[in-house]
Amino acid sequence: MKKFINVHVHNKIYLWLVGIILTWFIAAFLVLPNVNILYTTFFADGAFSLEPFQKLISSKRAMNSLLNSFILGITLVITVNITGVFLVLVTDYFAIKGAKILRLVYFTTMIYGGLILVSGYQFIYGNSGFLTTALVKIFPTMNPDWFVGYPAVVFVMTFACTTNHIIFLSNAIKSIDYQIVEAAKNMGASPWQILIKVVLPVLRPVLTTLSVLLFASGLGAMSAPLIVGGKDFQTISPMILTFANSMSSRDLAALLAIFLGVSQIALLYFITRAEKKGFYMSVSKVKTRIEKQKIENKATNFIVHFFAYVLFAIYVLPIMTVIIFSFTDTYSISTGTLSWEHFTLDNYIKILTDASSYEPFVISIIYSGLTAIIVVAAMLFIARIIHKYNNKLTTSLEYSFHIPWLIPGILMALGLIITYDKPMPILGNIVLTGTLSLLLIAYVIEKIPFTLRILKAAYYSFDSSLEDAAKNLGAGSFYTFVRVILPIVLPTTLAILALNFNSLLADYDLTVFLYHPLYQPLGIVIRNNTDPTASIDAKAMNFVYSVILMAISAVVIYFIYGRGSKKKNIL
Amino acid sequence: MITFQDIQVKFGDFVAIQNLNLNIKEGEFFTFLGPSGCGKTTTLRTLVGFITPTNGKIIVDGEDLTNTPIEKRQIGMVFQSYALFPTMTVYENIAFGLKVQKNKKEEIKKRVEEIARVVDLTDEQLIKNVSALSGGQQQRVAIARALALAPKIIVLDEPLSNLDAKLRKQLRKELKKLQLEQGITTVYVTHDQEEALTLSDRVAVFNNGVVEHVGTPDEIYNQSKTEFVCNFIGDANVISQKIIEEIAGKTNMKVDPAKKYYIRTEKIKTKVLESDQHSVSLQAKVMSKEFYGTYSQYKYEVMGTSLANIEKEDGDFQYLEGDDVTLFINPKDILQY
Repeated sequence: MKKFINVHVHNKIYLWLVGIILTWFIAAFLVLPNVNILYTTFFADGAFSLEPFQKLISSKRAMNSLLNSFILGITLVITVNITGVFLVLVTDYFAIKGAKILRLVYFTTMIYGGLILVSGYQFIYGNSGFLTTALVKIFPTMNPDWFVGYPAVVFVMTFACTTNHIIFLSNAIKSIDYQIVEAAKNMGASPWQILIKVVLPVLRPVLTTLSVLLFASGLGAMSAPLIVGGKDFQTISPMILTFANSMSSRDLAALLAIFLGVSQIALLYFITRAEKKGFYMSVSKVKTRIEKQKIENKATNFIVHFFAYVLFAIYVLPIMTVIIFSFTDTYSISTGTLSWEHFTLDNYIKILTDASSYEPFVISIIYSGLTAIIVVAAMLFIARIIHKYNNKLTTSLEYSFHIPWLIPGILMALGLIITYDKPMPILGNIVLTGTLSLLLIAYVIEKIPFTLRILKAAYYSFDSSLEDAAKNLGAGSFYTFVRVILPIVLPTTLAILALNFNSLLADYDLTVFLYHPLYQPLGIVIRNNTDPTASIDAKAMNFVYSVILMAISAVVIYFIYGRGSKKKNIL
Repeated sequence: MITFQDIQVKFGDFVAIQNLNLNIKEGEFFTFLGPSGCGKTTTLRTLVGFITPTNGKIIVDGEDLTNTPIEKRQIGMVFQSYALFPTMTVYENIAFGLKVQKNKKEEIKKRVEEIARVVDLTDEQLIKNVSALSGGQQQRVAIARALALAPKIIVLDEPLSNLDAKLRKQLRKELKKLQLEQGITTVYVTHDQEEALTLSDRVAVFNNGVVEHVGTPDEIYNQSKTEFVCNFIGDANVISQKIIEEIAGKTNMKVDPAKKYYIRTEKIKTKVLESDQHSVSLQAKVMSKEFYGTYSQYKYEVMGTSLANIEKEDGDFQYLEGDDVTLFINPKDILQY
């Protein structure tokens, strides 16, 4: 009896302690910064004021950025959907020669995305780019600055944003019961009718979700407009960055960030509604795997093959160029030419020996590694609490930890900067702005919702009778967790650890607001190296960074979705 | 009506169907029966046109359909998974083929309503999404959709395999009734022998891409042509050499040592009429009993080997383990291969 009371009381104290720590974390880092940004924007002088709106309306640059973001969002919905649907049909629906290699190349956006992709495209199509240099030699009157502004941003983002199509739409096509295609054939439908009336309607809910995500990507785009947008095509995010750098226009930056936040919440609401309404549950109990459809019409077959390989070239060209030029000297890089005598390993030797070259990598590895470990360890624990104690308190806890999904990273970053640039009692009067820890905190906050969701799913997916069996055999809670539960959720835990680490290595969008000037992470250095005024050596280093990042990403993706996932269902 | 002439289907080196020759009569309910992977579905898909045979011809009403496109064969198909279009309502599913044929709206409506009545689908169900229906209702929609184009032939690929036992029995009756009312030639694929025996006018038993026996359910069951058919349909005992020699010794039955002898479980009796002069008695000991509700299966030791039979559970008949029993076997019930 005494032992029972002891355990019971200890358990209660421990739960209370955990509750207090989590409440403090949520209040200090998830709620307060966001409330504070609203307060400082609309209550600048202690009274509610709509002045920031007037300031925004009277700022031509800000209004243009809003308009440009909307235009970009809408354009991407059209261009990426057309490209993405075509890519998926080519790789998963139609019988296309070389589909496997096409698929592999279309998949490269998974390892070659964001900042490094934009810098790669710029090296090819930019004013001193490889392709532009070659074209100018052939057409001397050609404007070398052709790859700038709205078309350039749309071009880059169209091919950068097809990853979701490749993953989700591809899965949706694969999950179609082939017997519905056969049934339509049996009733006389032509291949075109089958595609339009049977296959695409099944994909409509996924396409709706993808379209909303694309609109959100366009709205919050940072790297592409910043690097290839030029003066005339700046969108909200780069504009927030510009305004945030000046104290006098911080309120404008905050208002634009709030606008992004409200848009994101509205879009998420729309996605949730569409998902609830739209997903078609297959009524098939015995599904048949989809078989690839032959395009019988020779002309159509040729056209589809032609465009499939044009896209292949568009995807493969920047990667090949980056890999090849990473092994060349400054002469080759500056002139955009290749010859045997200019191939060298100097760039790679430099990254191993020169501190200014490897430091950004080391800084990013430390930040990403620490973030991945902290967030996974914390969420492993929190997800377990949510899984084990299903009540109103844990439900509120779960919802609170999803706040970062509603708030764009930029808004969160600004909130942290504005809130903790002065002593705050909730943090024991410690000033965080300008310290190394602020970026780490922001990274952790950003990764919380995704990590929590995946780990919670992992806990729910394991057979609870295993835990009951362990209890029945006399194992305590901790022993059961370590010996029974943890080994089962470990593959997912390691996978999410790797994914978090990988996604932060070259982060730019959040980092640019919070990094310490003396400890520049990789994303910042890569961005600076894309500047037209950057040295050739800096450009060379960008190639090496890109190749190494691609290699790391490839290993992570292979570990999670490749060989590893065949053995164990990791994610 | 349907003739499979020397049909061979190969997938690479694997021969799925080997020299199939089969005739199906007009208005007949014909079943392809066999275990998984025996070639019954391949044969069905070859008939519909999803598979082109490596050799041979498919002739329907005297017309060679071997290379005719699927949609021109006038064969309606009900798929194992039903293959209902999940994005469409029940009405749209049934109307799909009619729309593809560019029929007039009013004609489509009339036909859909007409066929819905035939399969007992209500107007309320017609406007529902297919995912909102139960398994049995989905099954009706699949049949209605296949019948909507008024095909010459309807083929059904294991259409009841996804349903629970009770619903399966109910739909089996409805299916048979529908076929009789419509008088449509029906080709049915199943691995369920009970389904095949109760529904069919004739059955083809498939094994390893070859048809082993074609006949009426009675012929298939009671005069199985091959050892495989005998084993696949119903439950049969292998009669040991000792027992068969004992039976032969008491009758004028000739025993061929190269042959195998079988007897179905229900043909071994524990009681016979006094007038029965042909049955041979064997002394046995009850080894075990399995209760199945309406009947029980007994296992006996007979001359050092085992035999099994079934006895109706009528309440006043029961043996216990270890009981000595006399079993009766009529030599005419013995099947030999």
